[in-house]
Amino acid sequence: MQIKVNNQPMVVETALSLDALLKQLNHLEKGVALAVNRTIISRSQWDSYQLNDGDNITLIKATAGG
Amino acid sequence: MLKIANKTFSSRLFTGTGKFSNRQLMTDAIIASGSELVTMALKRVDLNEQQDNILGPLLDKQLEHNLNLLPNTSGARNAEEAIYAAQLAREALGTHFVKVEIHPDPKYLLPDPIETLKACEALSAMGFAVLPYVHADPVLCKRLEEVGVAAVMPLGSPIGSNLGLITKEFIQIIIEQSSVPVVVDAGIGSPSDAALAMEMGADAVLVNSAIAVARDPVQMAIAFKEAVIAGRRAFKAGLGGRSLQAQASSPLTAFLDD
Repeated sequence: MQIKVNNQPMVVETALSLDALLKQLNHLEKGVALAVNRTIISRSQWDSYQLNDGDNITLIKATAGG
Repeated sequence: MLKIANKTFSSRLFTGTGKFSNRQLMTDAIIASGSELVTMALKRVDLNEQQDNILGPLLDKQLEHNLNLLPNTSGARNAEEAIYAAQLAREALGTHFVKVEIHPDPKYLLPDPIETLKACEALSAMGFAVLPYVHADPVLCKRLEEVGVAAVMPLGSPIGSNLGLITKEFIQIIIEQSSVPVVVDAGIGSPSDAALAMEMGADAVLVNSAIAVARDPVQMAIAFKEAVIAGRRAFKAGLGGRSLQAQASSPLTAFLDD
């Protein structure tokens, strides 16, 4: 199925959890947060949350700023 | 001690993490400043880049130096985006503190008061400790207080301009009227600006650029720390009144004449 992560299209296997996706992307580190189709999914739900075709994932982290 | 929402601060100097030339210098300067509340921004993770952990060394020192995090909503152009950013920040950093910052115009980065008020009302109702970055508008600050913000952060001058307190008289009114802490944010360009804000009775100041872009950020951080302490001490000691006419401080007896 096709999804987008930070507007970058990618093809992933079906029945993929958010947790598995982040592991693939190598972004399971502390300090990241994400939303699927603009709904924020908390870290504790990542392993049970199944992605669907066409999902749009926003992955953010803290950076320097005033 | 300064209290904002559920947290107490022994330093009245808040700092930011932007514009430092490297992360070690940022960490050293912030620790030297004694600051216990540090702003940061959010960005989208760049999947093509291996993790650039710019805040890493600072966050490693968080517990040791009682560093509290203040994520901002910079990049948000309206209330809806700011609310979304605040929720992502809470999730990412595990803090309910948020600096609401909504500036649609990149030239002057002046905050949109209408969207800011909307965002602050919603976020306060959601349990956030909201610190809005606003123009030095006393009426707006009272309205923000009514919707439940934890503090107000009026600007001295545009972000990063180092122009100092060009809104001084209005900040004075805000301080006089506010029942939440007043943190003077933006434009503080030198330790004397910070001292002035504190002498006027500001509860704290937020300084980022002036430290980050100094020739020696660590020494400048220390200078700001000392200025904030001096300004606060002067405010508590009570400044003498001003007058255009001289008021003699020595006896004027003409003892040399006769």
